[in-house]
This record gives sequence, structure tokens and C-alpha cells, in this order.
Amino acid sequence: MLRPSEIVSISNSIIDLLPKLPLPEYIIENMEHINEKIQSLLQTIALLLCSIGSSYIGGFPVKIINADKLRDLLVHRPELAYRLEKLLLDLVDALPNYFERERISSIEVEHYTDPEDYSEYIVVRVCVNDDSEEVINAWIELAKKLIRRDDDIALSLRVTPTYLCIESPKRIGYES
Amino acid sequence: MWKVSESVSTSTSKYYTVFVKFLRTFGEFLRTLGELEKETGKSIDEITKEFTNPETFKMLTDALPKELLGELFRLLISIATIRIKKIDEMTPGEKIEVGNQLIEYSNQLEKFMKEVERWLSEHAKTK
Repeated sequence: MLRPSEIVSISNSIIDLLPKLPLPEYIIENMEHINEKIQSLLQTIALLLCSIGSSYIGGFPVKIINADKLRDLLVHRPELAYRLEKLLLDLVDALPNYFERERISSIEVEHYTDPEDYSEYIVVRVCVNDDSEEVINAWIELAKKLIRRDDDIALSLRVTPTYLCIESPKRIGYES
Repeated sequence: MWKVSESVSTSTSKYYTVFVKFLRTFGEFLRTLGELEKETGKSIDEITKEFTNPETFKMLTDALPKELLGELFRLLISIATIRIKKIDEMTPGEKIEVGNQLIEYSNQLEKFMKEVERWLSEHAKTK
């Protein structure tokens, strides 16, 4: 059986040895690698949503309007892609706490260019089947929680009655 | 009688716990990776490129029902929006928060994959 002084001596040797192993550098390098992969996943998801034009996130259909322009914008602004995806995620997670599922018809993500100064921004539009005061009040409360002060330059979150949404069946029918 | 200071023995024991957890997790990760590479005959870089290829996602979006597709996108966006800084730049609180998020999403992803497998097997039966 080892004597206490031998245990201390072995323990000290191991403690001295651990920092000399390349493990901390290895972990750090690997974390950077994982981070790069995660960032590339973020871009892939943004580009994918643009290329397929519509999909589902959480329990909600999401439609992309002006997808080509949106893709070009997000490719050059990864920080905006991050913010957009985070907003969509927070939105689909929060919506069921504020509205009954059947009150929401879809979420539209639209690339918009200001005709006056040509500035580009993204409109995230929640299309609602019911624009009663109750729904609007709940929306105001929700939007306050989701939108950040620095979002208003590039990102706009809106609620719109379904019949006024870009891809609403009625509106498409009317325009055609 | 010889006595080890209590605080020294506690911190040493916690240090070993971190080391043991890292070795086990990293060992499991390496073993799973090796098994996957052996099974597919592809390197992890090739597998990752394939996984993040828009064509792969396109195939999934065409194949999966809307409930599973919505859950897949929700999970992928959740994972993609985690901000991981360099370990030595993270505060202890940030490490715990990000660690908890990673564990939570890994559990959700595992649950999701079981759902996909269940759906695929049911779908195969009905065909």
C-alpha cells in the first residue's frame, strides 16, 4: 500500500504534468474549428431558405419574398443573417404563447429596397387571420420583446392581415 | 499524523473531474467519428460538406412532413445561432450557459432523429 507521502508525490507529479500536455491548445483549436462549422451552417440555412423560397420553422410556414436579393444581402452581411435567424427562432418559439395557432397563416421574410435612397432592409411579416384589437395588443407586447434597438436600421418586424400579405391567395389572385 | 489540506484536496479532485469528463467525452466523440468514417468510407470533412450542402437540405425538405421539417429548421437555427467564443475568453457563467445550451440541443437533436427514424419506418411500411 502506498504511503501518504508517496500519494502526495504522485499526485503532484500528475498536476505538474497536466498543463504540459497539449490538451488546452487542442481544445481551443477544436472549438475554433467547431465555431467555423457553426458559422457555415448559419450561412447554409440562410441561403437554403432563400433558394427553396418557402419552408417551415417550428410550426409555421415561412415564405421568402425577393429571395435572390435577400440571398445577395445575407452573403455579404453574415451578422445580419445571424440576427435574422435569431429573430425567426425567437418569433416561432414565442408566437404560440401569444396567439392561437390558427390565427397565424404564415411568416413572410421580404427583402425590401427603399425607392428613395436605395437602402436595403428585411421585413419579417407575421400574417394573421384576425386583426382584432386583442391580436394587435398581444402583437405590440410580443414585438417589444423581440426587436432590439439596433434592429430598426436593417430589420423590421410587422404584423399584417393575411389578405394584405404578399403571398396571400387572395392577393395573388387579385394581382394576376 | 500526515494530513492533506481540505481545500487542496477538493480543488485537485475537481480538476481531475474536469479532466476525466473531457477525456471521456472526447474519447466517445473520436470513437463515434471513427466508426462513421469507417462505415461510410468518407472523411469527416467530406461528411460535413455533404451535410451542409444545400442539395442535402433540399432533399430533406422534399422528403419530410411539415412538422418534422419545421422542427429540423428550428433546431438547426438554434444550434447555428449559439455564439461560442474562445474558451479562454469566456467567463465561467458563459461557459456554463453555452455548455447547457449545447447539451440541451444535443438532447433535442437526438429526440428529433428518433422521430425521423420512426417516421421513415412507418412511411416505408405504408409504401
